Amino acid sequence: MIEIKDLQTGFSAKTVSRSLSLKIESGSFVCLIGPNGCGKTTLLRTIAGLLPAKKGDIFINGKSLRQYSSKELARNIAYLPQVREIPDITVDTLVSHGRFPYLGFSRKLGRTDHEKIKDALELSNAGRFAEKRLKELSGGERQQAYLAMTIAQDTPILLLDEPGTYLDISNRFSVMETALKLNRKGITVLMTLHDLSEAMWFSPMVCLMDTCGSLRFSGTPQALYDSGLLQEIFDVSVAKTDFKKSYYVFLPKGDV
Amino acid sequence: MSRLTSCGKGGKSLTLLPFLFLLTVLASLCLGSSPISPKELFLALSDTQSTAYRIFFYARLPRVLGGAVAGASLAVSGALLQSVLNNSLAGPNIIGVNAGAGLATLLVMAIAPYSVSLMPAAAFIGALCACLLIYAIASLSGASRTTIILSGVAVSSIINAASSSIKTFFPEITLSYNTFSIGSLSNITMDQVKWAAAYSLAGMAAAFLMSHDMNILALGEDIANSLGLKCRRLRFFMICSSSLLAGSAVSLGGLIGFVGLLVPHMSRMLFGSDNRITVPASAFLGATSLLFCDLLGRLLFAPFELHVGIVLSVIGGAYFVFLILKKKGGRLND
Repeated sequence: MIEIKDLQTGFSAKTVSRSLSLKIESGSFVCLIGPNGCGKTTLLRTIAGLLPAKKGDIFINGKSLRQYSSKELARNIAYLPQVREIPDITVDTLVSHGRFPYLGFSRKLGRTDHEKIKDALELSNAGRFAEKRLKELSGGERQQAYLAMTIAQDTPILLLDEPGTYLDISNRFSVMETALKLNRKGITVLMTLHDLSEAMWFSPMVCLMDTCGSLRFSGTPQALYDSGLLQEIFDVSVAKTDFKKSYYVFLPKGDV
Repeated sequence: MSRLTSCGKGGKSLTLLPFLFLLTVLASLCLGSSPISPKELFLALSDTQSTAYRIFFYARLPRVLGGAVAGASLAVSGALLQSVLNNSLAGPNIIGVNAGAGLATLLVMAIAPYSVSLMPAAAFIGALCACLLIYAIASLSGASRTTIILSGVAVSSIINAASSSIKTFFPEITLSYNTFSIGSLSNITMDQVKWAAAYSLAGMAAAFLMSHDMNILALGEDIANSLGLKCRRLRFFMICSSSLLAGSAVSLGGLIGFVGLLVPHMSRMLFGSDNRITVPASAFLGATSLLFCDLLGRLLFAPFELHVGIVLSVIGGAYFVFLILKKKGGRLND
């Protein structure tokens, strides 16, 4: 379980969000949405332990983030940032790096590590290009490769920062389906998404932040739609249609 | 999947490098203004009064050992710096690390010219200060790859000004300074080699131990941190090791350029970017290429000698142009 208590996030002298409180139960699938610059990524990086909390605290399974050693935290939380380096290595090497938190002084992979790498490649559908170099891959394939690395990390919590950015629609859906598959295995998934329709379609729970970095809503997509907060914060019109299940369409306000 | 436990594509071809290195060592020991055949070399070992013995023990052997230590150290120092700064244009002579080591060595030459043991220590401290300064600039400004190189040029310029001032205040070191600033393996003594080799061995061992973690660092700071790597601590140790190595090389051969920049490039081109391969491959390639260039300098205009720094500038410069042309349309510092 992730429990955020009266959290203030930011970096250097800048404060991004204040008084954030949120409880995410184990095994949940949550999308964090909000306008550009509201502090979604900063919040995710703070939960991942990459930025120190300016105030308040985050508890992972009842234990404060501050009490985790770096390796212990890496065995509990995997984080995939939006912007990444593209080193000149093969996909299977990249995925093997996901096992780093479990390696001893010799840094040698054991049998369990190899099994986890194999499973991660299969689950993310990256096995078909496992021997290719990252630089030879398309954006979608590269995302699957990085996702495989985070899966190999074998953590109960997975944080994804805008996993669909720069991807075409089928690759975006494929990434979301992999995230859902992981969630069905009991992994808690928390991701930021800028596509509101996709966030509300795929995610059973959404959290909405406003431009000031405050957490304004946390609940089901239907309850968020009913609250009218989407229109207020994004200054758009929202329509609900039924296609297999409720689908939300976002349009500019007024005539176009 | 078995490739993951070995060291990737370079594993097998890497074994060729020690042979190439030994061949260059043998050629460097035998060839020169007074050639010694391998048979003479073998016989000389038992006759301590022969000319061949004296040439071998007092000139060739310290020069070859010193060259091997300096070449390997510079190359591994460059590989470490390129990894720390995430910039393949970084090299100890480009970003001012050699200049820092050089300034400290000059100070020792001026103040205590006979303290052989002090030189590598001073060079290490000089290199470390310069390296930490560049790293601090890079961290504080969030500098781009190009800015890091430019700040290195700026720091080098300031350090070189200080070195020139020392030369002005201590004119008796002018002759040594000229050779020192070009980079040369002549006049290396066994005493110097012993001291410098101790520093180099420590730096090499540390670099090899950190090589796997350097692969994790190459994924970017956010991913590396979230995988549990203590990036700051690793970077600090890498800087210290790189400075140990650069300091050792500078105390032996002066401001030798290009090896630290180009050899890690060459290694990555030949064996891929796995640092577990890049580190040992750079060590062998660095030692081999420095000895080879020194040999060229000794043979080209024999009995006159060209300092190895001059030969390296020509070959290194040409290779650099080749790299630029090869990367036409792309970025050299990918």
